[in-house]
Amino acid sequence: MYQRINLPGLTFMAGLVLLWEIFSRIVGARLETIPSVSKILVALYQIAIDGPLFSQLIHTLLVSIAGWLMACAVGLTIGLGIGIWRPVWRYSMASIDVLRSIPSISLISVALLFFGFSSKMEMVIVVYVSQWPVLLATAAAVGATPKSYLESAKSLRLSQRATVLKVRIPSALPSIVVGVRLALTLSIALAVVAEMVGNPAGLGFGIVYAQQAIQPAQAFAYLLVIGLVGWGLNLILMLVVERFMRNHAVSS
Amino acid sequence: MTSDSVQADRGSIGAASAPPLRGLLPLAIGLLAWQFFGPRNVPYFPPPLEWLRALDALRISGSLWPAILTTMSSFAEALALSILIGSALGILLGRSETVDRMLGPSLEFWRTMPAGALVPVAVLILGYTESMTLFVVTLTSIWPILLNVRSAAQRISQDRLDTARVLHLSWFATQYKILVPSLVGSIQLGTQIAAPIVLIIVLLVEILTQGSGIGREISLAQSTFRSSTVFGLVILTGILGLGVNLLIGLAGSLLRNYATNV
Repeated sequence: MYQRINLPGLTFMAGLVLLWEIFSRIVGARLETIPSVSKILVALYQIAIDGPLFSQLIHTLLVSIAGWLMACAVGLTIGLGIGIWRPVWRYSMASIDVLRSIPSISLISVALLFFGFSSKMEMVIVVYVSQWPVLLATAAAVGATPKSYLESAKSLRLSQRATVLKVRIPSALPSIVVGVRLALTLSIALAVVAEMVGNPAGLGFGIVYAQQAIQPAQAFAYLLVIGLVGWGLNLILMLVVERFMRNHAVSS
Repeated sequence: MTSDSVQADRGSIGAASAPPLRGLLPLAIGLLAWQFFGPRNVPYFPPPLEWLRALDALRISGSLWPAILTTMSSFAEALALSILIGSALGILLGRSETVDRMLGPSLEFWRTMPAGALVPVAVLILGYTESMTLFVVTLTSIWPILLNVRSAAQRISQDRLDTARVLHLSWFATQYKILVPSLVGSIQLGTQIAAPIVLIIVLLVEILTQGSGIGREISLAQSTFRSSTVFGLVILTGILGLGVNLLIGLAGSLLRNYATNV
């Protein structure tokens, strides 16, 4: 699928763009809120040349990638602890289920009270929210190592440490990877939202600023950049994961 | 390996088993410690009982129930729309390879669009209206449903479809008696993932537009530094989220019964 170029799909996409251009020229001229594709590209060029686009882009990229890495580290550590020791799971999982059902967006307000309108607030929110999928995936998958694997580990007289490192973690890897991918999507989304609501920096601030200044073309240009960031980071992670899993495939 | 033996081979923690309630203990201890030993003079760190008092004050001033009602009705409408559009598109994409290939790249791009980024743009185009909220929320939360239904629709066994043909079922009857029951599980799974997203985006729209609902109340309380009100409302959204999850889980188990009985 990825080797073959999807011609009908790309044609359809180009058709949509063309339709938009025609539609916005005919109808949008009166509405003035739907900019044509060409106007969006011009606006993109303008904010890229003399606007703050690049510094904002770098800010958002840095926060989401750094936040994602920290979230993975936190989620993996706690998830491993919960997955390996059953009593820990028993005495913490229900609390975790309650805590993670608090919508992330309302937590931004709490973080704003503590840290003010700052990048620290943004980072805390990104890490807190995106560690949940990693934590949950790790805890569930490490806790659910097939019994036959554990029995083979026992008959091979593997130590506790070796059992975790050589059996439980590798067998949990596919689920952990799913959690890690979800965490990336979340960290980008939360970085943008935190910038929109709280921290006046980055692409999220840019798009809200364009909205408040009633600059539809600029807002769409930002939307395009944010979309490309999400799409690009996901694609890179997927390629890395594919290569990694090919090298470290668990044969079951 | 049959599914039964896979189940038996599972380790100590089954994916389906709910965590025991004594797991709430750390949370309860934490809240109690906060109440009794928390810092007294830090204004941003109000003890839990203050949260409830603040919520009660909001209720007495008459803005709590309308806010909950507004938020939850937006939530219910948007979720219903997401389920309808998401499963319809999912069936379309799952049953037709041509459509799947045609729409693939466009959907792939939209799917990775970070949730929330659409809100300012939609506000610009549609203004602060109820239909804008529905539009934005639906567009960001149909993906889990769409993708789950699509992959389930691709995997519908040919036997079931052949049965429909042998019985000379009409097109409508085939959809209604074969397709939908086969997909109920995936729709429910997608809905379970989509529901929290719907709640988050509804709140985000309310916070950004300062229009109405719980999001507006949170944002107001936060900008005037009424920290116990913020905490109370945040806990309220958590409870609503939890309640919605439980409801969907319940609906799911009822529907699964129906799906297997068909």
